[in-house]
Amino acid sequence: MIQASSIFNAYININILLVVSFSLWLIVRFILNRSGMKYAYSTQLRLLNCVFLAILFSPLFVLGFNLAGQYGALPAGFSLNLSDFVLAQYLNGSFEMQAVEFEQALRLRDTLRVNLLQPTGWLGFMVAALMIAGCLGFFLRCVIAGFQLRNIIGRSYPWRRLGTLHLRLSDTTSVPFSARSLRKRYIVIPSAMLSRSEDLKIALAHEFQHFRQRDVEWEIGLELLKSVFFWNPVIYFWKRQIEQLRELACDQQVLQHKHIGVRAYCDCLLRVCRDSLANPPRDRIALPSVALVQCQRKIIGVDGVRLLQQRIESLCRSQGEMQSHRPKRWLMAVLIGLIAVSTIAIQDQSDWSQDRLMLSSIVNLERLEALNKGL
Amino acid sequence: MKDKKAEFLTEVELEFMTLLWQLEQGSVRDVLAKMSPTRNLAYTSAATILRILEQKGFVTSTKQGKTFIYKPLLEKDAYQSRSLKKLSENLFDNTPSILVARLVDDSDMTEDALEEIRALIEKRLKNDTS
Repeated sequence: MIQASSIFNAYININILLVVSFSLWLIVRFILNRSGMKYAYSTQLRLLNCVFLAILFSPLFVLGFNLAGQYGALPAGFSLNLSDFVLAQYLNGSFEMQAVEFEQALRLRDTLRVNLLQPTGWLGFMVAALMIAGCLGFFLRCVIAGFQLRNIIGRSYPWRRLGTLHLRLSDTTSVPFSARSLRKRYIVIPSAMLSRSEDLKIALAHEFQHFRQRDVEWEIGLELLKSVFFWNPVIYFWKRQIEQLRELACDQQVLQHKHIGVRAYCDCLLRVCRDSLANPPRDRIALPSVALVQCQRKIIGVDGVRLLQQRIESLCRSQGEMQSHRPKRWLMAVLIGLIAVSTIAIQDQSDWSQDRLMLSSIVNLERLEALNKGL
Repeated sequence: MKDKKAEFLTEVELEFMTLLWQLEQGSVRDVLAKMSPTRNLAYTSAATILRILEQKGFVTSTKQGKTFIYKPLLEKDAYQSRSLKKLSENLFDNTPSILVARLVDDSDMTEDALEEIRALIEKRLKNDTS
């Protein structure tokens, strides 16, 4: 049970971190938009990916902080724990609240953990069952999508090969896309595109850029993570943000480096979208791949039509403002630092500090008072 | 390489097959030469389309020197019948008479064309009774 409890704690921490980090990211994006980096999509994408990696490696921050405490690198009694801070403020009288209610709020995580890991009532069982069923359902959806993708690639025809990258032609898809297995990477092009050399050139340049940005790997990773954090709305907002940024960054990079005209590029996107609408895919499950253009309207996730509109507007507007922005290392360092502090601050505090003993005493006194009043 | 048989041609493949049916057989350059000059199709793209047609079993190739000569394996008539059958199944409830009725109702159909259809039907009926 200790192990299950630790895993559950880490799970809760990552969920909280997702919310905190996404809020941080929105602030950073707001600042970037107002500091001349509105169209620096590649920089924004790298920053966002960096924040996500920082969340995944957040247990290392905690480990480092604990080790620093053990080896005396931190002053005695130094704490970054958020609950300790709030408790100190409560005891100092910064805000008023019933001690029992305050203790319940502080112990919310423990209550949740006990109710979900050792469910006794029907509600606890229901929530635990829903969580497990949700995870399994979303994971199954990923597996089915993987098999569908394998079938589409299997039914396509080999065209060219560049090392581990396989270029294939397909009759069953109307939108070029990139995908990968463990060892092989694929770019699948609709066979009808062979007769449109300009579109073929644009589609290949776009898909090559997706591989350079490692978008396919991110897409697979995020789809898998979605099955674990399916109930957390932030994961959907996060994915939507990444999908938008990766397409905008990819368009920008292709236009900057491949000498393709904006008009030809936009025409190609519209032609592919038109073909896709004329031959809608039979499978409705989103495949773990990165396509040239998405034309499906979705309620959850990226609305393909709106994204296409945004891409075309952005391509036309950002022409004069295209600059190569190097990822701002200091900004990355600040973001990682804030995430590290947040990670340490939200850790579960199991030690009995002076303040906690004090709170426990106040709670007991309040209870005694209530009992006396009852008598 | 494992062949993947397909029943129907895509738009581009049909364009290539039509040219091959006209040529009876030919190399990539022969097919490209038969295309409209405004078509502007790369040699490699044309070669790829013909290679896919071979994988689908619509054409066969023989090597003459350094050049591959492609020859249709499927007759034009046979493909027309196959396509009409599919059209009849998908759009005309598998009832060919509705398909013919729609064709005859077409106002663009000339008197000569209608006469030709009548002759074809009469010929077929005569053959069946004899």
